[in-house]
Amino acid sequence: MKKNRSSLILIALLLFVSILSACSNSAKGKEENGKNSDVVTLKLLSSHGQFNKGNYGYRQVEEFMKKYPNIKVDVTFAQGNNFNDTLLALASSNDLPDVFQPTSKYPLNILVENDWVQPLDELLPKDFKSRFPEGSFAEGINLSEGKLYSFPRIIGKKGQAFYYHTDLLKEAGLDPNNPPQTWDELLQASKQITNKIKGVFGLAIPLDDQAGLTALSLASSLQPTLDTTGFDYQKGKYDFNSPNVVKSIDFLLKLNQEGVIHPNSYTQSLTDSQGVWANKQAAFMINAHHFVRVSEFELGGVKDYDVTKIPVPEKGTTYKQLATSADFNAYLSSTTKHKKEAALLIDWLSSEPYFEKQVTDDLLLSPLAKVDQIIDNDQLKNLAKVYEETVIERPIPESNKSAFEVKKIESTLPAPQPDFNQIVQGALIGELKDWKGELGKLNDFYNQRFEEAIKKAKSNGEDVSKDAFTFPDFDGTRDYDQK
Amino acid sequence: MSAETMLDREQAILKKMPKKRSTLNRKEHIWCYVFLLPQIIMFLFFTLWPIIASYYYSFFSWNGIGWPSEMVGMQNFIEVIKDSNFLNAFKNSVIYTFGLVVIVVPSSLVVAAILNSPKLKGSVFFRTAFFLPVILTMAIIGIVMKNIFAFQGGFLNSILEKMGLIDTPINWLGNTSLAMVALVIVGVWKGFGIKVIYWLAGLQSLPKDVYEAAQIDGANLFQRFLHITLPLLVPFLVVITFLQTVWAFNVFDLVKTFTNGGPFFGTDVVPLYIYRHAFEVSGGLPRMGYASAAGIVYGIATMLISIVFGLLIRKYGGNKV
Amino acid sequence: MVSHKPTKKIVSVLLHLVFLIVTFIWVYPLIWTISSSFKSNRELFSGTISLFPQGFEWRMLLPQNWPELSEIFHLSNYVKAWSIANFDQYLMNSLLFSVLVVIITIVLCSTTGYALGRYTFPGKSIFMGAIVATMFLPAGYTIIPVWQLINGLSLNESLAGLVLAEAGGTHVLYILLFTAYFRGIPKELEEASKMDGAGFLQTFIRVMLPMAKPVIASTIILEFVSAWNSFFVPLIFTIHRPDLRTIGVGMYSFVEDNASELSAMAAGATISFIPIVIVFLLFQKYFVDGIAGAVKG
Repeated sequence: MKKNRSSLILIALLLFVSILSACSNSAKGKEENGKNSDVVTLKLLSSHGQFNKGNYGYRQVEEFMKKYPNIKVDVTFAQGNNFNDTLLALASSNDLPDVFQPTSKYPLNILVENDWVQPLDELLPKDFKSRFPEGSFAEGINLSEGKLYSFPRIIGKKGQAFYYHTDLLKEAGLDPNNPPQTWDELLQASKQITNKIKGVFGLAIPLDDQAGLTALSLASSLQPTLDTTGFDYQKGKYDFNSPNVVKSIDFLLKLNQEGVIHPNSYTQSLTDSQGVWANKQAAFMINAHHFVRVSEFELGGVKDYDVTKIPVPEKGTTYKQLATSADFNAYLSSTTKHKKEAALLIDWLSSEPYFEKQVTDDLLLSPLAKVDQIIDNDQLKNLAKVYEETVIERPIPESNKSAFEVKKIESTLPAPQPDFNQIVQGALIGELKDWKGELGKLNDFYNQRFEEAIKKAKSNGEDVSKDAFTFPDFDGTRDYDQK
Repeated sequence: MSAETMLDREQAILKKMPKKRSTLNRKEHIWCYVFLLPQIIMFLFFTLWPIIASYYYSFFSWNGIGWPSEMVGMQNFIEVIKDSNFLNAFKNSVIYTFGLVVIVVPSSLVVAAILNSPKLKGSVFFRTAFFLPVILTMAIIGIVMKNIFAFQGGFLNSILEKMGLIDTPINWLGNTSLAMVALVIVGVWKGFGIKVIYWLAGLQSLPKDVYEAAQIDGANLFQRFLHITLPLLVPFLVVITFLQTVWAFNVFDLVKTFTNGGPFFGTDVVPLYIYRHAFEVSGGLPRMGYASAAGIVYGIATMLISIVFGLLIRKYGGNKV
Repeated sequence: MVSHKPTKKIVSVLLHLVFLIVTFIWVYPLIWTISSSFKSNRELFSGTISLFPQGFEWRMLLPQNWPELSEIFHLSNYVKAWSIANFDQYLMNSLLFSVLVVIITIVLCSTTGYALGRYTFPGKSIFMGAIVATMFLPAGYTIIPVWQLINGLSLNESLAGLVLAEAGGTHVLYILLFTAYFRGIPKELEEASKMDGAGFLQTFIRVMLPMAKPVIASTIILEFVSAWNSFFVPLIFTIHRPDLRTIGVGMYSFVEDNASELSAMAAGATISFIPIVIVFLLFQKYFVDGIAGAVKG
């Protein structure tokens, strides 16, 4: 009898212990908040590498915690798809972090549409907006219905640039101070490098997620009114199958044919390809503003490289591009329980000292114009020059409330499949023979979806039409006068 | 006291005791229900409810947040059947499954037969080696294989080049057909060991006397295999093929981490398609209702396959040893 | 007759050789993973096929040259994976997760199998029928309702929720195994236990369960490996909770966030593989028996 009971007790104990340890995981978080009732724990979820453990943003958060000992910040970093999945899971279980910095998959219109964020006006110091240069805040970008939702984290005028290894150029017998400036020069230089240096190719193009972006970046010099979402602001419609885009894709196909694109690129995402370039297995890469900091802090410190404008189709053409939209902006979630403390954190992350040090310690251009005079990193300096010379401010239709409504509705309608990136990728790997036809279909899909959004907005009482999105006197050669 | 006398004594006592059958049985029944209760709860919450709910969701257009509110009726189902991407994924699922079954089932039998033969020494060693891939985490295998099959600098291409079997690297993951080939290769490698074990169980359950009789009659190894072993193994063949088919039909982990359906949907399979529509945002929000509908359509296909195999088992499973 | 013997021997030797080669190729991916985990990132990118890291020389295996060996073998990859990338936590999570899933499964299936295998009671056929029916019903995407359920129970923050999602439901295979096994135990043992004054529960725990050790062992090993390797359910439930992630999801998110760190990836993969390989090698008999029993049933 005694043995009976003891074995029963043993089993019960085992179960009890294991269940206890399982619950302890969940209890841990609640414990911290419960015991020290004056310590507030904030959750920050960021998709930006700056907040990865040990990096600049993370260190700044540690400084923040030193300054405010009663606030504890849990920083979680998740990149790309990881972040997207994570945010979605948290949103659907009503567990949004207090502050989050989403990827470009979640622009303001989607966040507001889903009611995931709340305005910051009441919570930030009155002079907040004046920290930033004129034009930093715009309806539809970081304002919605006049209310402030976020702030620029990086220089407003940014876009794509051309990154090249000077030592590889030298090794292949080319002038390291004279990177290719035209498409033809790019082709020739790539061929020379691919043929002369074993195991090294001309370009790294991550086709898995940037094929479309690369094509549009190249086409930008021919049609600067076309932005990276495929929308043309002069025409007021999507223009994926414009002859300029087709020309650009043809050029990529030519590069492909000549075998100068790194073969692993075909199935690689941006982060993978960045690694290929950083390991000097490709000489050239078209990439955005983050690449200087990524090369320095996340890829082991790349040496002997420089930054210049993206090559143009013919000598004499000036490269112009539309400013790419801000990403990784910090937002205050609508469900946060610690508004004041979270606002303090956001204030900290947008202060002048923060941005000043961001340039020196994190190699990211600051959004406060007066600060970027202090750039001692050569590549960053050249990147800033490229942006100064090539980036143009686009018209902002979203500043019109009704037009913003249209954009919000558009984001809820289904996306095409295959999308633009997949079409370009399909064309380059030879799977999609009739990519031109597919491109046309894609463009029709986007424009139809656009028109449907306008129709829906109208039926909701908005007074809007395609005209709100068309700017006939904008030709892409200079900044649009925002009035 | 010996066991037998104890038994006799019990039986004598039992015969003398009047059996209060009703209360005895009822007590037993109650205990049975108590024992079944946890499973019943689990069944209701985690088996029955999900099935019913997934049917419910499939009639809505729902982005996964809150509760479905936009009823669309059969629209999801119609869209699924008409979607060329779904049909492409379905085609790929069939190709993958077919490739796996056709390669694995016969070859694992051959290997099992060899391992079973006393002529091979160290069969336990070989059996363990073949089985090793089975226990490795599928998701991690996918990630490792992605690097082994890489075009430039991947181990497989490097070794094939060094051995002189190829001149230029093979673009495994960048070509839709080759990617499927790579997927099938890894799928075969992963599931092979377990089929060998199944076949071994089957082979070891065969009666020895038939073989002895055949050997006396002068039949050689081949004839014995062909005329005795194979027919007796048919029930096992059906079961093993069925298991392999269902396993391959539901592959997710491997495809997600190895090729993620690429390139250009060349290895997109239905479980991945459904996952993408349910959880991955692509210029919009997830469509859980639609994913549920796709899941049901796929489930129907699986059910039909199960029925076919079920009938086969019924027909041939009779002479299981 | 005499001339047959040498050819038979040659065939036998050839057979063994072929199998050895095939076996080596078969396990090579695992060997590759381990060997890559000691190499530098740059070396891996260059597509080396050598087993040992660059700079290796056979003389380094001698004890006096071990300092040189430790320089060649990039153990920093393991440090990176273990502490920086949190693989130590993923390992603990996977262990705890697997153990809990196994315990729940055994409790569920042994009790169910016992009741089904040895007793008849009203409703038995309904119960069995329901289970069989749901097995064949085409199901939609059932993970979504399970997600909702776990959310509704407010368990989405904890390991308990994840364990329930994985272990919940009906494990038909194990139920069948236990049912068949318990059915085969003679009634006499039960009666003898009753003679000793043991009740239903005590009979089960004191007499029946110990008898079912083989089935329990097989269930343990099969379910443990299944839970350890589980990817889909943990992906859904822990992708947004880095502290709860199991080994498969941890690996997946590590690669997402650190795409160009090949050697650290290999180290992480090795850390993930080694425990399960060791467990398997120690308990393979029960594994094989369990599977063989499954296919026979």
